[in-house]
This record gives sequence, structure tokens and C-alpha cells, in this order.
Amino acid sequence: MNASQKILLSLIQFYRRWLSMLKPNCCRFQPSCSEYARQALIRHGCLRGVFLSLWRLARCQPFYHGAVYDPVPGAEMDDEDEQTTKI
Amino acid sequence: MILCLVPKWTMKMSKQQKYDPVTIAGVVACIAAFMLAIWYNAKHAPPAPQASPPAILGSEEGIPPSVDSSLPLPPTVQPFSTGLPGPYNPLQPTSPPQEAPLLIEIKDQLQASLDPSGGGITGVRLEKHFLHKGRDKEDNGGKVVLGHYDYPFLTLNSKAAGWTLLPGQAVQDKDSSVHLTRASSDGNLLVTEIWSPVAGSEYEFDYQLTIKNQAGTALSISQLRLEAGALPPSLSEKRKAGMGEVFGGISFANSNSGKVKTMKLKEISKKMTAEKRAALAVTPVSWLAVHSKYFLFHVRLNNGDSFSGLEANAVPGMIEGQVNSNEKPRLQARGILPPVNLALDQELTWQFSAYSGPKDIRKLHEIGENLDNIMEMDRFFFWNFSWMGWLSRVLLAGMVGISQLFPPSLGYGMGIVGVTLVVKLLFWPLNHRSTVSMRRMSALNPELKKLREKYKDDPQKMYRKQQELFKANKVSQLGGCLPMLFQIPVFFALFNTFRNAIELRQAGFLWAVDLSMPDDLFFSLFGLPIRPLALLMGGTMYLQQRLTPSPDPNQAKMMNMMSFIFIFMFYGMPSALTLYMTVNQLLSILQMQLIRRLEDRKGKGENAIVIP
Repeated sequence: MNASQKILLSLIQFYRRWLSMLKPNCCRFQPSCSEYARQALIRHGCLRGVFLSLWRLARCQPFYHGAVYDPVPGAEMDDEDEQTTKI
Repeated sequence: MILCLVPKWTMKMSKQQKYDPVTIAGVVACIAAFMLAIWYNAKHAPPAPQASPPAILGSEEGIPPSVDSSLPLPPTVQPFSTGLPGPYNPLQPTSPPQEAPLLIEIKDQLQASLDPSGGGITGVRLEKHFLHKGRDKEDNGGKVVLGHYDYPFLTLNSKAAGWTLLPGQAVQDKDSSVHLTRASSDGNLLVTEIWSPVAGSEYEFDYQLTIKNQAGTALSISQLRLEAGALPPSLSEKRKAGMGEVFGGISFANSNSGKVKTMKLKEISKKMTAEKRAALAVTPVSWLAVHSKYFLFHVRLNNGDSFSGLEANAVPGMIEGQVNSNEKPRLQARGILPPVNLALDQELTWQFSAYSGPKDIRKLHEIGENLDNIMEMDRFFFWNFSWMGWLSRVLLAGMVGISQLFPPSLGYGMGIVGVTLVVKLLFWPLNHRSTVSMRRMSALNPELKKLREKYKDDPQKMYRKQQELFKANKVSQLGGCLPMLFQIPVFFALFNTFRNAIELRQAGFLWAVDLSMPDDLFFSLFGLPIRPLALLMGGTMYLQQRLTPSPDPNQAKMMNMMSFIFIFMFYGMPSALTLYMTVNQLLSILQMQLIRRLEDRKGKGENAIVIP
């Protein structure tokens, strides 16, 4: 894991720890957007990870008609473990 | 300082996932340090004296007193009264007026004092604004007076151009406008100035400046300056800049790009360099404004003209009308008029519009040219957006509208409560749907887990089964993170509004004397002020977190910590903000309880999970 990945991950961690509690749970997907972003960053690196996360955020609204279960590409099978491991 | 450390320290603690004695001791130490800091501040209300006469102030803060790049002269202070053209010192104050001032009045709004011999506007008394407000009604410090004779407002400063003007004798017309004609000491230049209040306005002036060449030859004049006044960051000694808050600044609009820039006190004093001054002196500027937290001087050059530059200085501090070198420096600005070539007997006139009064966003918006940008109502994280300013204005209008339904003693407090309620109601459907769907979703979690176990090897089938499960249980995905993101600007706009609106200045509500200041009670605990709204905010936050079911006990503990941190963060903030936070929190609790009730009533029996 490189430095930029670590910085972004710590930002996500900060959000999940401190900011997410200021709003109600709202995500329409599973795993949630922040968890998705975390996994995407780890799995696909900075560039693709950020892109995937933004794309996911863009889809996270009532007019999108996809499935609720929306894992990071490539993480379909083993995200069970990743989801349960808390930061 | 302490506030910066707390989140970091708690982040570290979160990794330990436990409250061991060390962390508890840390929390206690933090609280103790915080209280100590407040107590210390209260004890030492006036900061440690750092007396410095005007001329030294410049050099002390790294500003060469002679800063004009075109005039690199030694820093000597030239006494004003000699009348000799000397080196230009931007920090040199104007001497006190010798005669009784002429008064320009705008009925019930302001009274401006003008030095009849040529010192410009030496003070603007605002009839509707008082210096401070305490529990004792008599103790209001008198009416607010903007400006002082030492750095006047709206007059020509010809010293940098190398001209000395002889004192003149102003005459006042029936319509209360004032005319003043002065000649230069060598008789070559004739300067005529006219100040007049704008009919029908509340705080606006017109100012006209005419220069005439009487030299018998063509004249080329540059570096004429217009005084734009000086203001302290805060007019009242009772209002000290709170945590992370910086009051006022010098703002200007670049006439090429139209962009507004605000320089804060630090930028004008400590961080000012000779290069920056030189750059400012050649920045074309259409208007400039000198402002404190709630008041401003503004001057704009009309008819498509613009200043060829500006000068921003930090001059000796003033508090409650008295020059006080222990105080923070005042902000002082001058506009540099464009260089002109005057043929024989040629006249040149500049027209200015000026405003001296409260930072009322509606009035500033009416004046236009982005003057309302100085209020930073369009702030969004680190950026400024004009739509944020629009949003803030809408919310402010709502607040003012609601406040008028109540008696003045409750007015703006109820306005805050009302606006918070309206915003909450507007977002109600959004929050309601997502909360309901999240609740159902979390009920389905065990089933989902089972499905994932069952169809481990066939993801396609697993998705299908999941969809069926959601459909059967009417989990509609009406929520989403994106709509939630839309709410953030609204909360920022609310924050901006409650922090900056002059309407809240000295507006009382229940026990809070002034909604723009912390709501100190009349007694304190060992020098530590008691601020019930801040404490209430923490309490409601704690309550809300207790009521929110959290899957992770550590997460819940962190949330409880958060309410403590919020008390610290908001303890020094205006009570308008803590009131808003408290009301918002209470409404969230109410909404959550209502949803829970509704779901429970609906769900008797039918809330059971349906397995297709």
C-alpha cells in the first residue's frame, strides 16, 4: 500500500469514525459507500479506487434501479471477510 | 490548540478499542486544560500589553514605514502641522480637527462628522446600533461610532503624490451636502470635494472629487490616494475573537477579473511583505471595503473608473472610540487613484459612492458588484460559491420573516428555531424514507448472510435471490448517499448565516443576552462561564446517540466522546449556533422516535421477514 492510498484510507476512516454519525444511515447499497470506497482503494489502488467510489456515490440515489448488493469489482466472493473486519 | 489535539488523540484511542485508566485520565486532563484555558482568558481579558507608538508598529511587524515602491524614502515621521511636503508615511495619522465638525445626517440612521478644514469624515455615528449589550440595560457603551479623525474616511490624501493641501473652509448646503475647496501650498492644484448623503438611503454617501490644474503648464499627477477609513476587528472590548474566528478585514474587487479578495488582519500585519504591498499598489480595484465583524466602510469609484491600486495598513488599535496600543491593530485602507495628465486649466472629476454602516447582507447585495462577498456567507469548506450566498440569503430572509411573528424579546431566537424546523421538514421525506429502508434492511441482514453462504459458488443466483428477498420484504431503495450530500450545503449555509448575520447582534433570547455571543449566565463557576446552550447541545447530542441503535459498542462509545468534543468546540461560539445545534438535535430525536413508533404500529405481525 502506497502513501496516497494510506492518506485516502485515513480520510475514509476519519469520515466513518467522526462524520458519518452526524447524519442518519442513508446508503441504498450493501456494502455501504464508505466501505465500498475502502475496499476499492485497497483492491484497485488510488486512481481506479477513487473513480469506482465516485461512480458508486453517483449511483447511490433513488433513481438508480440496480441491486442492493453491490460489491467492489473483483471482491464479489470474499467481501464477507473484509466487511466484518473493522478498521 | 487543545481542540486540535483532542480528535487526534481520540483517534489513537479508538484503536485500543477500550477505555483503560490512561485514556480516562487523558479525558479528564483535556477537560481540565480546557477549563483552565477559559478561566485564564476570563482573568486576562485585555491581552498582555505590547505598547508601540504608530511609527514603531510598522517596523515591528516587518512593514517598512515607507512602503510605496515609487518613493523609497527613509522611515522618518513627518509632523503633519509643518505643511511641508515630506516623505510619505502611510501610517502617519491625521492630526485632530481644529474646528467643530460639520454634521451630515441621515434621519434616524446616522450622523457623520466632517472636518470643515479638510480632514474628511472623522466619525460616523450609527443611531440604531449600540456598542454592547449587557444584562444592565444602561450599560450599552453608547452608540456605535465608525472611524476616527486619525485615519479618516472619504478624503483626498495627496501626501504620496508630493502635494500639500492648505486647510480650507467647508460650506454646508441646505440639503446638508458639504463643499470644500482647497488649494495646494504652491497654488498649482485646486481640489474640490463634495460630500452628500444619498436621498432615501440609510447609510450611503456620494462623494465627488475634482482636481484642477492652475499651474500655468500641463501637470502630470500620480499617487493621489483616497482615504477609505480604518476599523478595529471588533468595536467592543466585550467581543473578543473566539476560537478559530477572525473578525473583519480589508476587501477589494479586482476590476479586471471582478473577483473579490478579503485580507484578514494577519495578512495585513504579520504576513505583509514589501513585495505584497507593491503588488497591491498596482492591482486595479473597482471598490474597496474596510470591515469589522459587523460594520464596514465601503467606497466605490463610479462611471467605469477604477482605482489603480490600494494600500492596506495595520494602524494602532482602537477600542470603544479610544486609541489603545494594547489592542489589536486596526485595519486601514486607501485607494490609489489612477495617474492623470492635466492640460492647462483642465479639470478632472471622479465620482464615488460610499457606504458606512452595518454589514447587512441585503443592503450589501443591493449595492451589488459582489460587495456581499465580504460577509463570507458563500463559504463552503475552503471554497466560495455564489449559490451558497444565495442559499444563505434565502435562509436569512426566512429567519427574519419568522422572527417578526414573535415579540422582539424572543424574535430572532424563534427565527432560528423556525428556520431549523423548516429545513428539517423539507428534508423529512428524504430522511424518513432512508431511515425506514435502512431499518428494514438491517432486519434482513441475517437472511442475506444465509443466502451468501448458500450460494457461495454462484454469485449470479445469489444476486437474484437477494433481489427476490428485498422485493418480498418491500425494501425499496429510496434513500441514497447522494441526496444526503445535497443537505450538507444547506447546513453550511445555516452555519454561515447564524455566524455572520448582523440581525443576531444584540438580539436576546430567553437567558441569552446576545445571540451573536456565547450565552453566559450572570454567574460563573470559579471564573468559568456557564453556557447552558452549549451544554444542552452536548446533552441532546448524547441523548440522540444513546437512542440510535449502534451495532458496534465501541462505535457507540466514540459517539459519546463526540458529544463532549462538540461542547468544547462550540463553547466559545455564538449562542445562535449552539441554539441551532440543540434544536436540530432535538428534532432529529423526535423524528427518529416517530419513525420507530410508526414502524412498530405498522409492523405488528407483518413485519416478520418474508422468505420467498
